[in-house]
Amino acid sequence: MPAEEKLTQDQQYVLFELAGQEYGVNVQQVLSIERIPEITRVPRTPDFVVGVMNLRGEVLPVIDLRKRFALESFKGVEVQREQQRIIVVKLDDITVGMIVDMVRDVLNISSAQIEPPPSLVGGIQAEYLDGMAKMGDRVMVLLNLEKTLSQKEMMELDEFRGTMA
Amino acid sequence: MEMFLSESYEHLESLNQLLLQLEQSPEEIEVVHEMFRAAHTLKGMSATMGFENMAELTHQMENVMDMLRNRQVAVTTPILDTLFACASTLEAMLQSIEAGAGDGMDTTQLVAQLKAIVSGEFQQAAPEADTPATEQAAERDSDLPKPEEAALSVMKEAVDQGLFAYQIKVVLDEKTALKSVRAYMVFRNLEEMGTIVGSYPAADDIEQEKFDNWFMIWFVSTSSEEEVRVEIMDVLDVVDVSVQPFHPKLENRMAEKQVSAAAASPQVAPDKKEVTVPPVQTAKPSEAKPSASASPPPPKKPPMTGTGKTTKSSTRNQTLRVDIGRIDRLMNMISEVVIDRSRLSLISSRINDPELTETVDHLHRLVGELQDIVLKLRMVPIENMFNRFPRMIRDLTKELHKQVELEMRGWETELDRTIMDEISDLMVHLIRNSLDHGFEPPEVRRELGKPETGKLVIAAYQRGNSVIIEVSDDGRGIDREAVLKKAIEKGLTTPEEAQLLSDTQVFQFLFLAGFSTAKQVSDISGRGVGLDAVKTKIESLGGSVYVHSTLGQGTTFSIELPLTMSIIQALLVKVGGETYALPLTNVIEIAQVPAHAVKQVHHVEMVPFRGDWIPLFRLHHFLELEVTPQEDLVYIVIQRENKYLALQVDETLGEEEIVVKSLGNYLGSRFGFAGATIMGDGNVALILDGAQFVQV
Repeated sequence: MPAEEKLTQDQQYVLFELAGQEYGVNVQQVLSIERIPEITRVPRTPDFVVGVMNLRGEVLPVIDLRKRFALESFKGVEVQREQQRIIVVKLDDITVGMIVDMVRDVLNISSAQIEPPPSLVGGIQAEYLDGMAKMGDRVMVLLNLEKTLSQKEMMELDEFRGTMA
Repeated sequence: MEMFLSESYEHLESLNQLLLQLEQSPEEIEVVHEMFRAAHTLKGMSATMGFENMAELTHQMENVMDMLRNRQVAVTTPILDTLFACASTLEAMLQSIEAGAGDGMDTTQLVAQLKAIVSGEFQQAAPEADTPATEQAAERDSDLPKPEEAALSVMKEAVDQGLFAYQIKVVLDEKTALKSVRAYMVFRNLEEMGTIVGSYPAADDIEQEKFDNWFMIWFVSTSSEEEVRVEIMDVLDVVDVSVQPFHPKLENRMAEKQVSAAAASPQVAPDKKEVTVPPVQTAKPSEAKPSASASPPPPKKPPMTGTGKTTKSSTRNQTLRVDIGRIDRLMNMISEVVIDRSRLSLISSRINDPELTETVDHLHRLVGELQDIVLKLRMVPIENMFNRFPRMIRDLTKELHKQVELEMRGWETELDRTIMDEISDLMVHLIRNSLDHGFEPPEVRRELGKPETGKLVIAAYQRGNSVIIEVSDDGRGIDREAVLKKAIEKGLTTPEEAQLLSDTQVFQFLFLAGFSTAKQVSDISGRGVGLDAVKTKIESLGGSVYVHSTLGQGTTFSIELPLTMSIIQALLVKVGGETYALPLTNVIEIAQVPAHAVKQVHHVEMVPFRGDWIPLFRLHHFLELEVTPQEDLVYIVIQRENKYLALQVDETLGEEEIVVKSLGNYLGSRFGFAGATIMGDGNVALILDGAQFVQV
């Protein structure tokens, strides 16, 4: 779904915090929000793949958004374990859990409030972002899930690691 | 509709088999009797459902079969070919109906041929008899109300036989409350005195009252106009009836489609035989009772469930027809119960209450039995799939001008239903491959001193937790050098490496996309469903495929599949502090040796096993874990084909039945892993696919 279509009307977004910056994901792509349970490591995967977890009987892959966008070295807010959550998102036939620092709330954002993001926001490049919304002095960056969960990138990373036997 | 489709398919399959039988032994009139019954039933069912095209075709087939069984016509190849073509058309019709597109196909050619056979004018040499009957174009008349071509030809035939054909228009009282009921009564009355060959609108539509207050019927009978009229007026609410003699000659749509010469005009009266036009059978739907019905072709094993209602004849076993969706749901629930059972065991061992423990143990056993039963429900004998092959092979060998004898073994071998559905197509592909590329033409075989008729063996058997299916031919075999040459060209290996590869390893190259060594991509096996798709599919089901071949002597494709898809026996192990599951399928032994017993042979670590030495695979390295030095080395010996491998682990935790879950689309399939499972403690453990580590 091209970014333009998404932003043509009032949409609801789940807002979360990542390394001191506020982000949003379209609520239609969100399945649930979970606490972080025991996660089983999956060897030989990119390091932002934390592993898999049991989500009510289904095996759910979990990624760490901080690692995904290489924000750990970002000098900012420390991670508070109890506040971390997993946002379970579904994109076409891919279901993934994303670990975020903290989930804020769900907000209506109208297309009028959205503008294109600058090339680098909070350490994340524009290609992963759908836009930026300003409400008062609150700045929310909308995440582009397609790019974030891009399998092509994963495959490239896989090859780089020489996982292909 | 479900019932109609599944039963029709069954009867059709029956018909195909009978035709094959008849081909082998043309004297067996009993076979024709059975064929007649099958066609008759098909006719009845299709007529009831309103599929007039299909009803017409089967009706004509019935006529031919009738003549065959009365020995008025001899069983010859062209006649058989025609009947085969009809069967193919019927199959296409059923598929079309299934897809919602109705049975409107062009059957004029076949119908004409059938009628020609009956009238004695059939040209025995008719290559066009093998009409590819898969035309999907709906041939329904668009400018009604005129009868369909099928109806037209029937009426023409009848008239030539001395019967009367009428075009009837019935007008009902506008205030009629139940139009369909009135229409039904008109139909019924008419059927008692002749045959209804067509109507406008179609029977279905009339039943659903999709007409104003009038409808038309094309009718054939020995009765007079007046008699017919009276019969219809007898029905309540009929306000007007017009019965007119119908002259099929006036219509000339037949001329459009040119058929074999015999179809032109059956002027020559056949041998004083009357064309019997039996009334359209209204096989009531209640014949096939909703919840119970007979099983498919002669079953070779006892019934699946004890309580089945018996319908038909005593030669069929008691079975129950169950919707697959329900079984799947049942399976899912059982899977969850299995998980909870494990958790209960854990909890009960923690709490240590004797009464609780005893109850949980009992529950454990009960669930185990439940599981067994449910798993068996999903198992179906492979004969369901095997049944397709004889007919297909017959057609293909004709087309390819090869002579091949088919032998199938292991009919009763059972396979999970879902797996069987999935591999059905690729089995077909492998067979086509064999027929196309494997077998030499008879002349070549003769020159080579081989029997002109090649042998194709399809065998299925169970081995441990797997089902093995083999497709073997005694044809050309695969040229190792040719494959290597291609592989080297493509940069997949080097001449030096090639020396070290076993035949089986070399043949694995064939499964790579785009690797075809066929000189030209033939229509049959070059349809883009390459061997790579075959391999991918099989592996996605948790199986594997191998090729064995000897140049000049033959080739065998060997497919190994897990017995069931979702629940397997596994060995739980600990590696570097993490828990993994290893399917027991390939596990031969668990062994332990002092750490210093590991030998180094040409940079490969080896450990002792049954008097020999086998390579050691350090799982820790693969799993990117630290190896904690220990006094003893624990390893699991796994086997794949005839190769062994020792997997090093820290410790074994015991056997467990686990539910296999996929890693999901995001992670996709990962080398070395067969999925994941949820343990008794609710955590996820990855399932290692030991077989993948073995170098074959």
